[in-house]
Amino acid sequence: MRSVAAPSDEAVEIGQLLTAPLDRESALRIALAQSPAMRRLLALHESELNSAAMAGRIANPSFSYERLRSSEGLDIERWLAFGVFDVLTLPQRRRVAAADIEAGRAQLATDVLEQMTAVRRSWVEAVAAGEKRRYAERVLASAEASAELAVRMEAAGNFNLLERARQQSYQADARSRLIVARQHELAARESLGRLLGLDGDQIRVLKLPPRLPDLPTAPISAPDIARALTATRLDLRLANAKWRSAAAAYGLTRVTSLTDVTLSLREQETRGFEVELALPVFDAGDLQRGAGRAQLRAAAAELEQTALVASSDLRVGYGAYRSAYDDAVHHRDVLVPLRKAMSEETLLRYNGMLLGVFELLSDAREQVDTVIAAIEASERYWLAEADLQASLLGRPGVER
Amino acid sequence: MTSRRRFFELASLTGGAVAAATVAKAALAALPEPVIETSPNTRPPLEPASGRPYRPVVTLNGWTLPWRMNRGIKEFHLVAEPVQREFAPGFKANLWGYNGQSPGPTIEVVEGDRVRIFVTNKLPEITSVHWHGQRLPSGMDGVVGLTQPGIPPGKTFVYEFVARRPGTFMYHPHADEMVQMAMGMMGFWVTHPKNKHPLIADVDRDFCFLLSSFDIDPGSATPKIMTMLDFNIWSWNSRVFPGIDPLVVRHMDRVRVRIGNLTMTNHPIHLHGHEFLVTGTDGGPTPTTTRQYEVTQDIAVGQMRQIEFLADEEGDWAFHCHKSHHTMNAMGHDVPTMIGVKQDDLAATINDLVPGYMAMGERGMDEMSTMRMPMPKNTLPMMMGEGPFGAVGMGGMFSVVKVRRGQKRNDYADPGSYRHPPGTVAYEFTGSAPTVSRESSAGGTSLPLQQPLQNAPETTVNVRKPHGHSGH
Repeated sequence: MRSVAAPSDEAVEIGQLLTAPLDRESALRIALAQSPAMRRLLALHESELNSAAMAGRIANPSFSYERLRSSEGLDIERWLAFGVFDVLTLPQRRRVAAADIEAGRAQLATDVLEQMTAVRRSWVEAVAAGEKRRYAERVLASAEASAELAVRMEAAGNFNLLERARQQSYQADARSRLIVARQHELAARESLGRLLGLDGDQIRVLKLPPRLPDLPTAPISAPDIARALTATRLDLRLANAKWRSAAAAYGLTRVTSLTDVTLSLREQETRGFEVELALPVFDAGDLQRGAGRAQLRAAAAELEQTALVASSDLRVGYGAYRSAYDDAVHHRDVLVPLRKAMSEETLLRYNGMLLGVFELLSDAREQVDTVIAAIEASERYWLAEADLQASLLGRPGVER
Repeated sequence: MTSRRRFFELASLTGGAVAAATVAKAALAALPEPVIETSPNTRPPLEPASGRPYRPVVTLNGWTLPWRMNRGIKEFHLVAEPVQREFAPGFKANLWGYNGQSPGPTIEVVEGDRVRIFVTNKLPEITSVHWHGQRLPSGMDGVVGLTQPGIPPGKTFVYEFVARRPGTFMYHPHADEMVQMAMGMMGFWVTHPKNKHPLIADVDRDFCFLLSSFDIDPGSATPKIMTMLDFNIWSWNSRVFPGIDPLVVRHMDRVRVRIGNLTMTNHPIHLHGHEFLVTGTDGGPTPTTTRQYEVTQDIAVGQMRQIEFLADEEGDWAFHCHKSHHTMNAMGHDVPTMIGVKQDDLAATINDLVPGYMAMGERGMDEMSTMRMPMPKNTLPMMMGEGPFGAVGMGGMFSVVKVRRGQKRNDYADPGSYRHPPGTVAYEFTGSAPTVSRESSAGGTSLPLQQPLQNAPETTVNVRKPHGHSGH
């Protein structure tokens, strides 16, 4: 399957990346280097370069593996966005109206971005699945201790069958949950491995961090979103480039620049905040002049539509992100400490013979359930974060 | 002075239901200064400074309310109020009581005394006082709605009646009484005989206490007032062992103990080392023909009993409720029996899940009396107390009658542990097993042996050096 010629040092590099627990950045790098969609995009890009007379106008291809390796410390999204943008805007820059090529490129870029998002999500799910599986094992260990004690209790004549069976049923439930958790973990690892282009052996030995990263001390702020958006959002940049290109073609000198697409944020009590994109101010009079400028009007309309969609998309994405962040923080700062305090008090009550060992073990199981819920909240956060990153990058030519 | 005098005249003139009248603000200044007790310790008996003489009682971990004489009338002032009561060092509860403590102070009067009791309500709701067992005008009986309006918060009512018969009584609210009694509102009342009474003996020491129970969740401090039966604090005068003072008596003293039960269940009160007579009940002194020697007297809910004995055996004699769960402090009634269940090998696993866990109960629960592990705050261990021979492992309704030859008359100070004469303390057997003769005919013809009789195995004896206090 992996017959597409790849530099052998790439394989070596990937092998090295796989020896340590795979963090998210490394996962993205491997995916970029190995993804078939990525290779297709690069191959197309390369053929364009070869066929184009003005190939020299394009900066050194951004997607080379060397660049990938040396991009330590570079914000991978930004790098990716600019790279894809370079490829996407080639036709405009060459002033070639090659609509079919452009559409194909846009689709490919979308594929790449979606795959990068899928890698992020898949990595989060795989790490969380491993974490949940380990906690499911703890629940089982507690239930097994309860069940074993219950069997001994019955043997000693201290329990009846009902009590013993009740404790054993907890164990049986816990085992069932562990079976499901193991399957989830396996599926999540396979899913990640597929996206990374790993083979079965590599997936088997794939090491992942034991837990999801800590939540950031503060969520991505609305101004950060604004900056990231105007700098990177592909669909906006693409539509804006088209508009500028069209305007230039018709000799329109007062072309508004990209920075005129501004983002305003309104804090709201219930929904966090609102994103509004303000469009460049067009000279409507100029645009109305003559049917010859129909294409220009179309580009302006497209830019307007793109801005509307991007604005809505961001509102949804950031809203989901903020609520996931708030919920994950609530789990971490409120629910888990409360449950911990309850467990500590439960142990004190056990110490005082105010309750028995079965309640103690049952409490331990409930505490793990709370921890699992917190892991899931954290997982939801990191998934929302991946979606938000996708929103910031935008998906050129594809309405969501 | 005039207004004050007029008030008292008014109060004494009125009778029946109207007697329980609110005290006007101006009249408050005329009330007897309320005496507030701040300590849960046993106060020495209060010798009567005025009125007819009598031999006063000792209220276990309590006190007698001083009074003032007002033109031949004994005036007391009870203040119903929220209090904080220490049940034993390490455990305090938020209760409702009287004059700073729960139970309230003991009221001691003499048969025939005219008694006027001012009751000031500092509770957040109405209250009343029912004078349990007394002969009195119906309107002085203290039943809210039925015989009087409730005493509103901030108001003072007056009760006045003649203590008509000698005996042992109690007082408690009859307004929202389920709640107010669950919160600890109760007190003792003793009416001493006016003259020499054929059925009431003179005694050297006269103790009294109330049985009360509370449901206070470990780690909290306020009783759960809705609990009907499943209490976890079983107390004498709102104290639990080892917080209950010993009953200290002189050898050959005649001792009377008066006990009232305001819990929700009966309590078989058991005295070690002596036999006693039940000389009085709720209805007064018992006829001598009905008296029989007992070592345990059951006291039903709402009942009072007075028992008497001659303290003619020196020593430290346990005195307790014979319901053994009532001689424990807070405990879990749903804790499973772990006896005979090996847990040590699972301890590592459980400890991994519950750091700090320790296996308990495999060999019974005596280890609880010596183990000191972190527990919920403001909670006493289930089993407590240190004696000269080690852990006593008790709680709740448990105390000690200390009979001492050297104790001075009227001296109630704890003389310490009893010094047993040599050879009078149980000791460890260190000899060899006596031979046992066994019946060999088995079941005879009706139940013939199914297999030949084996030689009985020798009794195993663990020989250890004598140690500890076996030399006493």
